Amino acid sequence: MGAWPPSFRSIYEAEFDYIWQTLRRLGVRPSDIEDVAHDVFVTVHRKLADYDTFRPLRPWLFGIAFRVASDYRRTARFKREVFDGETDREDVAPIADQQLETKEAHKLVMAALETINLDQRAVFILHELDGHTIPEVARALGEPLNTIYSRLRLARKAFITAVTRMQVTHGR
Amino acid sequence: MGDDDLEGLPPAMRALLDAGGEGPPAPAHVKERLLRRVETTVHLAPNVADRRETWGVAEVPAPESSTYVASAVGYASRVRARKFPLLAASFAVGLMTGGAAVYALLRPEHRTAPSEQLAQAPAESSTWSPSSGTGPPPAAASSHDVLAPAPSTHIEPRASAAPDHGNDGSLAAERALVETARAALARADGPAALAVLARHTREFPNGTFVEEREALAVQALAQTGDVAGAKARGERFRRRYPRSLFLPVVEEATHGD
Repeated sequence: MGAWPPSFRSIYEAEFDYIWQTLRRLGVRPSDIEDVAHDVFVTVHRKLADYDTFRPLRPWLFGIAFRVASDYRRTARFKREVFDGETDREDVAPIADQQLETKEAHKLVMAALETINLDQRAVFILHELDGHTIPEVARALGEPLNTIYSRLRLARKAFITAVTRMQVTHGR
Repeated sequence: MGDDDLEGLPPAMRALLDAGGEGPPAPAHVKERLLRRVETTVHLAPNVADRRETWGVAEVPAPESSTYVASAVGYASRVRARKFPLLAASFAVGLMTGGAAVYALLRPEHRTAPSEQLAQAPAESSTWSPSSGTGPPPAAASSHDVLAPAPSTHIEPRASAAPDHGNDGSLAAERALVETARAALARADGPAALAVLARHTREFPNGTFVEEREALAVQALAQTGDVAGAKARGERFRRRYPRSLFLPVVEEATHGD
């Protein structure tokens, strides 16, 4: 990332895609991601001075994104429209089998994530998808270690259950 | 207890996560556009951290529908304390970024009386209905009614609901207008602020900064002594943006000391 501590612009350039992915994983509707990401980065800008540069950046960013997304999900707008069937825009271009498999896998993962309680999902994403250690997850979310372990266990169980059900439903 | 004590994911699930954990990236133009929006917001609200205390990472509160409210709270307090030079300095950054557009707006010929500016706004304000976005303008509207949005019970999407932002130039122009209005307010020039806000309404009826415009308008009306107008518009603001971060500012402007 170059200079350290990082500037806001360098964080934005390097981590925009990460924040975008994180918000999708946290269940922010596609049409709302830009607005929610706006609030995330404004918060990042304002809290950058508080960032402990001895700790990894992404868990800190995730903590902010998680709270912004949690607030968003409590809004009446989200609750009213979350089940309207909105999905990502389909890419109309022909895609190869490998891409198709990846796309199907992504849809399955996202659908399974959506069945997991948000607090548990945050732990699952940070640990299973982002690869952070449990202590890092605990610090990012401000929760005790045992709480994080418990949430991870429940999240794994919920994820496996959801995937299994969807595979059965769709004959995979 | 450690991760090793937990039952891990089966290999098939691990493989699924590896294959499908990443979705498509955001389009490059969205990344650029969002950066401009963020920069606009933080330039408009340079002191937002002042009001918020020293949170740990876990306590960082999420901003709501609009973002630089806390700064606006401080701003309102400073206005009331008549520390206008300080305010003007803090807003100068934003003003400079507005460039030529800001300069043009500050020219005397644009200092049209607010009532005249407001009277030109009904056609644009007719697109403000939150349900359809195309409702008719309110009949027999007063000068401050003209700009007032219809009630809303949800957070308005910003960029996604801003059809008049077809290019970066329009976003910059919109930003310049809002910054100009804020600067006028900082100078205690409420009429000029209202005039600029009316222009924003005409040119960007569904723009990115509608919420900010309305919050500024409430403050500007209060500053000009139009207490009734400020209260009425403030009430509409509260209905339209019930979770807005600007609510403290609006409350302060409409209730006074």
